[in-house]
Amino acid sequence: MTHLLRAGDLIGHPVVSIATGEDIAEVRDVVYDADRHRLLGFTLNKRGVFAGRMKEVLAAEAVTGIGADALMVADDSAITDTAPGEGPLRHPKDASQVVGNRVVSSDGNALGEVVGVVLSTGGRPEAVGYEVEAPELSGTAFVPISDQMAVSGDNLLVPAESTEFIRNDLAGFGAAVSEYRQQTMPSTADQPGANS
Amino acid sequence: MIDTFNAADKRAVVAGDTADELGKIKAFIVDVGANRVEAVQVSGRGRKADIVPWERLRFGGDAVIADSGDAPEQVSDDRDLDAVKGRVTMRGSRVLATSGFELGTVEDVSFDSESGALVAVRTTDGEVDASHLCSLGSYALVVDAEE
Repeated sequence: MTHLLRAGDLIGHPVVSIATGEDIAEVRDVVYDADRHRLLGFTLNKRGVFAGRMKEVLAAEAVTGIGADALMVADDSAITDTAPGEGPLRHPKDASQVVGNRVVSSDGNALGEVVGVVLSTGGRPEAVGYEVEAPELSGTAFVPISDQMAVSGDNLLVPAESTEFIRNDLAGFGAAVSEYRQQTMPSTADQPGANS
Repeated sequence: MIDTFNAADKRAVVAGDTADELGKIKAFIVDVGANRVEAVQVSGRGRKADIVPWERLRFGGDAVIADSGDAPEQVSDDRDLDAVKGRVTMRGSRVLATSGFELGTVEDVSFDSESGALVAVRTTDGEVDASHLCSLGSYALVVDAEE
């Protein structure tokens, strides 16, 4: 079963080297590209109480496993200040925003407001859904990400047919995402992170 | 013979040439990459930490025989120093899977008393075969156990 995590819950998580068993950094913030619905990577803090920001960043491709307790990387070289993600990962403020967008279905129903990004765990982490604060749907709901989504910075337009995969709990949403992906994008389901 | 760290704690280390007791086992220094016990730390000598390399030991069930009275040596490298100071030890260490999920903490380690090869790690969550060990650091024992 796919285990899912809220991206925001990763803040403060240790980054641990598989080569040494040492915690080499911790997550300061999650950098996300809303236009392409892609997890780009992470800005980092040093470990420890008085530790501050690191200039090094961690690209999503360099993460070998994201779990509920840690982000795993092969070794120290995973965190770098010459990341491939020149741009948004360097300057997170430039990344397009999705949190705060109003969620509207393609048949014109307002569903709520985006409050977070949901990630899959495991070896190849990727964004699979958005957490939506939805008074109409009795609180928090999870909406699967699809290529057909459009995001403006004010509105996130979701295909009407995806609304049947909306779930109120993360555990149930994991199964719904798998099902939805098999129906809509069988190719990308095999290649998460593939840049079409 | 399969022995464990907990069972072997405080076992007497005796010099094979003089029959003097050199001290008692205080800690195990493990090479996680090579999957084996590298040395044991001997206590009760009132000096700086002394370790005896595995190659100079015969690991018996009641006593551990060192090949001679001068077998204990000073800790030479930083990693071993971390081990004898208790900064990096198997027992009590957090266990972290390469998937990023914690699998409890280490309670005991079993090993082959003839070869020094590690056999398995018993954790608060269950047992991990030694072949799954990746590394041991100050933060965690990293294992590649599949969930």
